[in-house]
Amino acid sequence: MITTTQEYSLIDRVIAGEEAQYAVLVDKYKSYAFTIALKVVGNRAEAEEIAQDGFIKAFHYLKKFNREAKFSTWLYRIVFNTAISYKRKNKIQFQSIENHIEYAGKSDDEIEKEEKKKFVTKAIEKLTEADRVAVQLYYIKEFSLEETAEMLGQNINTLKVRVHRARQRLADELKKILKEEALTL
Amino acid sequence: MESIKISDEQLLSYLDGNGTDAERKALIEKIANNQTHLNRLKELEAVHLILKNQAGVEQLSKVFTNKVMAGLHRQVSSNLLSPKNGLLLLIGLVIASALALLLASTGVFDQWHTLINFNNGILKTDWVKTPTVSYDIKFVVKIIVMINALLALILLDRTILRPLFQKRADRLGL
Repeated sequence: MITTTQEYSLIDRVIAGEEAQYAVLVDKYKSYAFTIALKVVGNRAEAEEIAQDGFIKAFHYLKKFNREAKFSTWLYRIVFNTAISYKRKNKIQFQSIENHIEYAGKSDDEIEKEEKKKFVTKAIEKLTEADRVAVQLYYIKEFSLEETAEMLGQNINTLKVRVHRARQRLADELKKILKEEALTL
Repeated sequence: MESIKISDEQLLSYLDGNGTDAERKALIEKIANNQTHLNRLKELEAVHLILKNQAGVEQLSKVFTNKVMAGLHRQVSSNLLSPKNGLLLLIGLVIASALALLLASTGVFDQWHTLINFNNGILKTDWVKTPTVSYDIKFVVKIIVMINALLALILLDRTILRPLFQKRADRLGL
């Protein structure tokens, strides 16, 4: 685990020409960067490519990193913006990864839970991009509320409103779907 | 039955684990006899738990770091325009320039010229004699066409050629 001071000295060394030291930063933040990209595009291969581009861009702009925010927040913002641009450029339709339910050998309770999960996952796809990303990043406990807000370029109150609205919509959608299911039985 | 008003905000705050133990207990006691609120809490809780379960940080292998390190000096594509949009804009610029040149060559702009006399305006003075400039639309059109040509070259380079060669280089592992 490296401290912020150690991180800054590492950045100084990278800027001074010791490029190999950048691998320490990549190793430390790669999983988070990949997770952010994945939440935006919903596709592992593309998310990996975006995370790579994000790290390369961050390396190119490292001299411009003014250390007002944490390096991680600055990096996540680059990755997030790269993912958004990539998505718009390639017109990717967000697709959730988990959608298939195996019914064999499962209790009714388990199947009900799986069904609910499927419905909510589908409902997530219907949210606006801003609300969907906000609510998904909000639940990643490794990112603080402040960090998530900064990453998304929003203030904390806007983020809270988005998260609140998204959860309300998901609950409403779940209720609607379950009602329809009950009627068809 | 007493009618109580509990908002989604209060229920979501409860699910987020906010508030003291006493406050949380009080909220549950408040809604205990109200089926509508209990149902709403269940719906929000289902959403809350599913989102919570999906919120893990995805792990990546060491290979990822190596790939990043190997491509550190790679030119990352500009986010400005997609190749398709770049091509459309380029076609638009070429058509506009070609039309302007065609109109200029047929003499449409030949009659459109005027003189700008700086001595009539705010610069009028007995000490300094400012020149009278001939203002010719044809000349302006030529300048616009030249700017368009420059923009078209930049567009061609940034949105089409560079991404194309980058893709080729990536494919060949250069």
